[in-house]
Amino acid sequence: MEKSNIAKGKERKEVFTTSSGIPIKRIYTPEDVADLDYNRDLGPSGEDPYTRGIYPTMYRGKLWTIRQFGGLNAAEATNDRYKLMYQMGVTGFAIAIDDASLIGFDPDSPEAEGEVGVGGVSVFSLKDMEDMFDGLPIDKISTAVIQAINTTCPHTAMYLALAENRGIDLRDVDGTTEGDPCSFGGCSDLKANPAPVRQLMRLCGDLVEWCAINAPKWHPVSFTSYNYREAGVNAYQEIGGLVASAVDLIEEVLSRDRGLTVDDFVPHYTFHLASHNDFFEEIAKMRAARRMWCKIMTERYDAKDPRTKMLRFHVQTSGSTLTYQQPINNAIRVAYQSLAAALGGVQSLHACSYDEALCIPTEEAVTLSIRTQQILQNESNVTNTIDPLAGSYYVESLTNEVEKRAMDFFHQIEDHGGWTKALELGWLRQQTEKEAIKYEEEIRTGKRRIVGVNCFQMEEDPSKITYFRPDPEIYKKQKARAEKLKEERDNDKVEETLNELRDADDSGENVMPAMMKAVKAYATLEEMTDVTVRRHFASGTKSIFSHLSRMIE
Amino acid sequence: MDIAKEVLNGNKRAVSRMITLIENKDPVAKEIINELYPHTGSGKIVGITGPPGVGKSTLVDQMIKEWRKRDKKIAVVAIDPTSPFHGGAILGDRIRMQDNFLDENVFIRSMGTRGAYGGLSKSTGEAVNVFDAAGYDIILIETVGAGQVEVDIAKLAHTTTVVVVPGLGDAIQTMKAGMFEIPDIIVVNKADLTGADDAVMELELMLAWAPKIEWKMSVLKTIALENDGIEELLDEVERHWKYLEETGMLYKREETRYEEELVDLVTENIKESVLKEIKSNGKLDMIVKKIVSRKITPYTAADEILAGLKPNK
Amino acid sequence: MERKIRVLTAKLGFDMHNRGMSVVNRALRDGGTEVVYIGNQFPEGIAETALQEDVDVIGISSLNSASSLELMERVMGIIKKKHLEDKLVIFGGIVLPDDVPKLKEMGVNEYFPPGSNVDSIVSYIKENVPQ
Repeated sequence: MEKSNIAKGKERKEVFTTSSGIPIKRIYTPEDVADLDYNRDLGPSGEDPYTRGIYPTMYRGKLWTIRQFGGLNAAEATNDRYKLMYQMGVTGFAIAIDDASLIGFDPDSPEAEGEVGVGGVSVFSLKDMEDMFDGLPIDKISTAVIQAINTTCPHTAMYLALAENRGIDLRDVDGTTEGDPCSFGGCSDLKANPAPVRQLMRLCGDLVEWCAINAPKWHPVSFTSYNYREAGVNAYQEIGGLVASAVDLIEEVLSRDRGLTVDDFVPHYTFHLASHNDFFEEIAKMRAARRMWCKIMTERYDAKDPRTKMLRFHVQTSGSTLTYQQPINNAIRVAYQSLAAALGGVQSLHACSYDEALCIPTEEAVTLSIRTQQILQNESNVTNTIDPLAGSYYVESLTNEVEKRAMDFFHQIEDHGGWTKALELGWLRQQTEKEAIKYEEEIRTGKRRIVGVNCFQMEEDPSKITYFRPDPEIYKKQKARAEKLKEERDNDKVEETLNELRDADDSGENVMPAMMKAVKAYATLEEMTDVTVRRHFASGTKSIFSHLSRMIE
Repeated sequence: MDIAKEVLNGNKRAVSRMITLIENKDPVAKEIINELYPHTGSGKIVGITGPPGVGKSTLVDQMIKEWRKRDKKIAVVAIDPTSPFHGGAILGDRIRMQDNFLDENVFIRSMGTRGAYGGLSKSTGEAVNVFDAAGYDIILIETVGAGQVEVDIAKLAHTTTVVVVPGLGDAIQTMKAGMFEIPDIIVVNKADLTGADDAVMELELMLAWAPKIEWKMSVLKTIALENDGIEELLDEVERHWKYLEETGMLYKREETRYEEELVDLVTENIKESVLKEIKSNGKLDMIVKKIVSRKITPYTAADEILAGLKPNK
Repeated sequence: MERKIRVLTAKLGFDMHNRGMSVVNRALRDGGTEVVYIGNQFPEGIAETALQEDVDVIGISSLNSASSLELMERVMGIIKKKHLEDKLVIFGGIVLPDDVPKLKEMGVNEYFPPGSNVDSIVSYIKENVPQ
C-alpha cells in the first residue's frame, strides 16, 4: 500500500530530511514501529527506561520551572530585573555572567577593559552576589549559576556562602552549577593544552564530591550540550556528546576511589539541552536522550538508584536560530521551540527573547518570553497528559533513529578515548566545524530556508524594536567597586584563606572548603582563579588568549 | 620607502612588505635581495619539523620565550599548507604563539606553501635572508608538518630539530621513513605521556645504526606546555652551532644550502624562459598534438625543443 | 607576479562565539585567499599582527553588541597610529542597526550582519582589496 502511494504524486523535493539529515518518509505506518515493545522501549513515565518522562505525574504534578537566564550591567541592575521577573511568576533564575568574570578577571584588571558588564552581569565577589539577590527569597527559588571554564567553584561558592550567611541550611538550597568543564571545550579544540582541561575536570569533580555531602539539593554540574549544539553539531550528535561527557566525569570521580558509587553522585547530575527548529526531531531527541541515559547507567554502571538513571534536563531555546533580520519573528521561533521542549518532557525551560540576536534582552522582550511559557503552561493544555506524542508512528520511529545515531556518535567518541581525549585530539572540534559548515552551506544554497535571511527578505522591517544598551559607565563603576572592596576588606584574612586554597589545590584535596572560606573573606574571583586555574596554564604563559585560544580554537 | 635601507635598519614594516614582494614574485624583490645579500650570514637558522599534532607551534612559542631571556632577537617563519584545489590557506600556527605577539624583538610571519612540497614554501629561504639582514639573531622555521618526510628544512637550516611524541609508534615510523639525514636534534615532546622513556630508548637504539658523523645526535625530552626541557633544548641547539663553527661544518652547510638554491634558481629560470618561448608562438600546442597522434615521441620532442634554444636567453 | 590576497581574521576580545568565524575562514580559504587566523585578541595584538603579516584585509568578528563598538574604536585607533590605513577593515557579527553608521564613520569599510552569505564576504574582499 505504501509503495503505490509513494509512486503516485509529485513532491516538492527529491528528499525530505530532518534538520540533522535523517531521511524522512512521506508517511509512517505500523510497519515502522513493528519492533517497538511498549514495556521495554517506552513504559509508563517515571519508570525505566523513562522514555516518556522521569516522573510518574509529570506536568499534572508540577509544571516545568520557568527558568530565565539573565544578567545585565552590575548586581543592582540585575537585582531589579530579577525582582521584576519574580513578580511575573518566575521562580527559577540563571545568572548570565559577563565575559570578564566568566574568564576569571576582576573589573580592575587591565584585561577586563571593555569586557565588564558585557553579555551579562559583573560578578567578582560575594558582595555582588549579595546585592544581586537582595530581597529575593533564595530559599524559595532555584538558581542556576551559569559560568564557564574557569569559575565553576568560586561562583558557586559565592551563591552558597550567601545562603549560609542568611542562615539557610545548605541542605535546603536548590539550584544548579552549570560548570560543565567539557562544554565550552565542545565548541573548542583543546588539543594544544591538555593541562587546564584536566584541572578543570578536577575542580568540577571537587564540586560534585563536596555537594554530594554538604549540599545534597544542589546540582553541582549540568552537562551542557547546548553550547556545542549552538556551535554546530546536530541533534543526535548533541545527545551522543552529552552522554559521553557525563560518562567522562563519572569516570573522573570513580577513579579517585574515595568510596563513592554512581548512586552517590550521579543523582545530582543535571543536563542542559537545546531546542532547535526541527520540531519533531527535537522532541524525539529529548525522548531518546532519556532512554539512552537509562540504558547506559543500567548496563554499564549497574545503577540501582532510579534517580541515577533519570535524565533531568533544562532546555534553552536555540539562540543561533534567532535572526538579526526581522527580529520579531524570533518570538514565534521561540514559541515553537518551547512547545517542543514541553512535549519532550523538560524539567525547566529558558525561552529566549526575540531581541537576543541583537542585544541583551530588554524588559519587554523578557516579559514576552515569560508570557510565552505561561501561555503554554496555562492555556494550551499540552500539560494535561504525559508524553502525548507517544505511539505516533513517526515520532517513535524518529526517536529510535535519533537514539541509534546518537549511540553511534557516543561510540565514536569512546573510540577516540572518551570525551576529554576526543577534545584534546581536536576530533570533536572537527565534527563541530564540519556540521557548522554543512549547515551554512545549506543556507547559502537555499536548501535550508530561513525566513527573513534567505527567503522572504524585506528591505525595511516594519516592526521596530527597542534595543538594550549597557550602562556606558559600567567599567568605571565596577573598577571603582573592586578597588573599594580591596581596600575595605580584611586583607590579612584574604591572604590567609588564599594560602589555604593554594595548599588544598596543591595537595589534591577537595578545594571547596577552602574556597568557601576565601569567598566569605571577600577574596575576589581573579584572586581565586589565579590559584585554581591560571597557575595551571602552560608555564610562563602571560597572555589570557594563549589559554583562551586553546579553549576555543 | 627605500625598502632595502629600511630592512637593514630593522624596520618591521619594511621587512613585512619585503616578504610579501618575495612571495608574490614581484620583480622589484630581486633587486632588493641583491642589496640585502651582503648583509646576511650572521643569523642562525633553526628548523622545527615533525608530524602533525606533536606540538610544534607550542614548542616554538616556548623556544621564543626562552631565547628572549637570553636576549636574542627572534624571527619565526611558520608554514602551513596551501590548498591545491583553491590556492587558499588557513595559516593558524600563530594562534599558539600569542604570548609573544607584542614583544618588540619578536617577528612572526605565516606563509602558505603555495605549491611547494617538502614542508617549506619557495620563498622561505629568501624570507630567512630578509630577517637575517634585518638583524634577527635567530630565525626559527616551523615546517608544515603534514606527515610526509620534509627534507627541505635540513638543507636550509643550520640546525634541524625533529619533534615526535610518545605512543602510536610515531617516533619509530618517523625514523624508519629515512629521517636520519634530517635531524641534528630529536625531541620527544609531551614527555609526560606514558611511553616517553620507551620512545627515547627506541630512538637512541636506532641512532646507534645511524651513519657515523662527528656530531653525536641526542634525544631530548620536553613538555612544551609546561616549559619543561626547553632550556636544555636551547643549550643543545647552541652546542650544535658551536660544533658547526669549530668543525667548519657551518661553511659546508651554507654550501649545501646555496648549491641547492642556485640549482633551483637556474632550473626555475630556464623553465620559465623555455615555457615562455614555446607557449608564446603556439609551438607547444603543435608539438603536443604531434605527440598525441604518435608522429613524434615525447623524448624526441623534448630534445628538439632544447636544441632550438638560443644560448644566453 | 603571483599575488595572493592575505586576510587577518580575529575574534575581538573575550567573545567566544566562534562558529561564524570558522565558517568564514573556510570560505576565504576556498576563495583562494591566505587567512591568518589568530583567535581571540585585543586591539593591540590585532594591529601588530596585521603589520607583521602584511595582510591586505583585517576581518574582525564579535557577537557582543555591547562591546563591539567600543573595542572596534580601539582597533581603528591603533590602526591609524601604526599607519595601517591602507588595509581593508571588515566587521562581522553583531552591531545594533542604529550603530552601523558609527562603525563606518570610524573607518570600518564594510559590515556583515549575522545571516550574511559567506560568498558575499569573499566577493566583497576580492572587489575591494587595495591594489
